Amino acid sequence: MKKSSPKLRKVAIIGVGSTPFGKLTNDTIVSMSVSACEDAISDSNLAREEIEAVYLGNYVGERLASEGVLAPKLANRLGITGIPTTKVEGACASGGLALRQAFLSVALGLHNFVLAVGVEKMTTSPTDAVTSALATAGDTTLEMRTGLTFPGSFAMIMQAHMAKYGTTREQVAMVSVKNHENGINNDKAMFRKATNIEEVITSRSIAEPIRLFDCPPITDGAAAAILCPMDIAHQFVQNPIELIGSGHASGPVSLTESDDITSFSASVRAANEAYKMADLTPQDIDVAEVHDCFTIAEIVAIEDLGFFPKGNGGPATEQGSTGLNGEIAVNPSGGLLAKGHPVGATGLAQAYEIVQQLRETSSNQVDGATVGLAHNLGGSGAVATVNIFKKV
Amino acid sequence: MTTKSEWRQCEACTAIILREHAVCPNCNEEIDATADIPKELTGTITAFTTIHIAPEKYREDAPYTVVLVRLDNNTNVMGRLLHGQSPVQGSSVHLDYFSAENGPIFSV
Ligand SMILES: [Zn+2]
Repeated sequence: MKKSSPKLRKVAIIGVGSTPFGKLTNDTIVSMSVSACEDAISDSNLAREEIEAVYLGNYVGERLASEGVLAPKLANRLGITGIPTTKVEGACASGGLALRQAFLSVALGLHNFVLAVGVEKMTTSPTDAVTSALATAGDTTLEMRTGLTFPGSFAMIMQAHMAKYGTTREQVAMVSVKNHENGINNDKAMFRKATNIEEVITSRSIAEPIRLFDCPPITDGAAAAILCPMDIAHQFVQNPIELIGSGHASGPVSLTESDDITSFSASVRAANEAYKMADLTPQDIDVAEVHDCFTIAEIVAIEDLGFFPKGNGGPATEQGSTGLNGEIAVNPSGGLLAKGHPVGATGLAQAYEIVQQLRETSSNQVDGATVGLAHNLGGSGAVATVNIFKKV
Repeated sequence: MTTKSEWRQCEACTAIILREHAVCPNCNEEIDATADIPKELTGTITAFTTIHIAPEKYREDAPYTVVLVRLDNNTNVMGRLLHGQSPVQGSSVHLDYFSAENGPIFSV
């Protein structure tokens, strides 16, 4: 039977909030969530009792912060107990998933006012505990038992991309240099210091060819957004941002199940869904926050999202095409590499930056940005979400 | 502890898969009859990495090399490269032995 497409309402973002990203010693996973949500609620001018549902993205809160039922806990602290609250998990794409679920519930007419939030508390745990918690996104039997690590998976992707397309070590390092440069102006970013190619490629070896400066830091943080139907958004704010396209896909959990590890099928599929819904092409995007969980991941992402042809991600980065004044500005926030990567929060932090860009209030403002995209990836390609935003 | 018995071979396409796979990830055939994996496997290295910062459990092994191998039956498997050997893109490897702890160990 041919499936008919449901009629979707237009959806707006009327408020966003974010904690600073970093080592937030005095904050718990719950207090960070509350703080980001309070920010978003006050930004939206919505009375909190109007919120009808909560979607919370979190990956390793049970392991690292020893907190379960986080979504009802958050609702309790916000004083909105009673409404449906749902935690969603898709590894490092948990935040993107929360936004996607919130979008669907408003678009499908289930709710008018929905809160999407993402959070992670990581810095209080020993590094071994963090890496083993994150490694649960890998396929235990097919690959992780070999002693492969998460950086190791992306090191293989980097090695294969370099071998297949002639991508150079310097081109990959440029991602880190660019994103650290962008992080300097972002007062929410964990790292606000420049680096250079030499420093990246001579930093400590993690999994060859990946070095320390190819990796994001271990970070605490939370970010949130309030969504409502577009037709009532102007009752609350003067500058609602429309969420015009949303895509979500799963992909292979193990690199062994992919015949070309230099591309993530989930990213391609989620992007196609989002572009189709938005009736846009990659060339219409002015600014993008993409999932640079490692330097090479940004190069793969800008190719998978269609910004550059396959294999051209390295040269495009080297030529400055992804810089603030380039063809398409990529990761003006500093990305995961400089802003930090509190895994469950990242998808919503990307949305936070894109909303600032479209309101023309970003600390690294891209001139004339009217359409923005956020790409969030989980595991080594097991989950991807792509959300497209437009200035109204 | 995972052991060799968790692995099997798809009879339709000869891919090395897991017992928990209901459908072969390579050829999409539903699995009804399967064979144990063969003792001799050969293929070529399609990607590799040398792990310097290892998980706690494998720390004493580091640095060690993990290889993605394209087997001669056109399917992929991940394994370690025999300690002391250097990986080269596209070089031929064969299964040296199957480790209950680490999965397949390849040798050039
Ligand atoms: Zn098969």
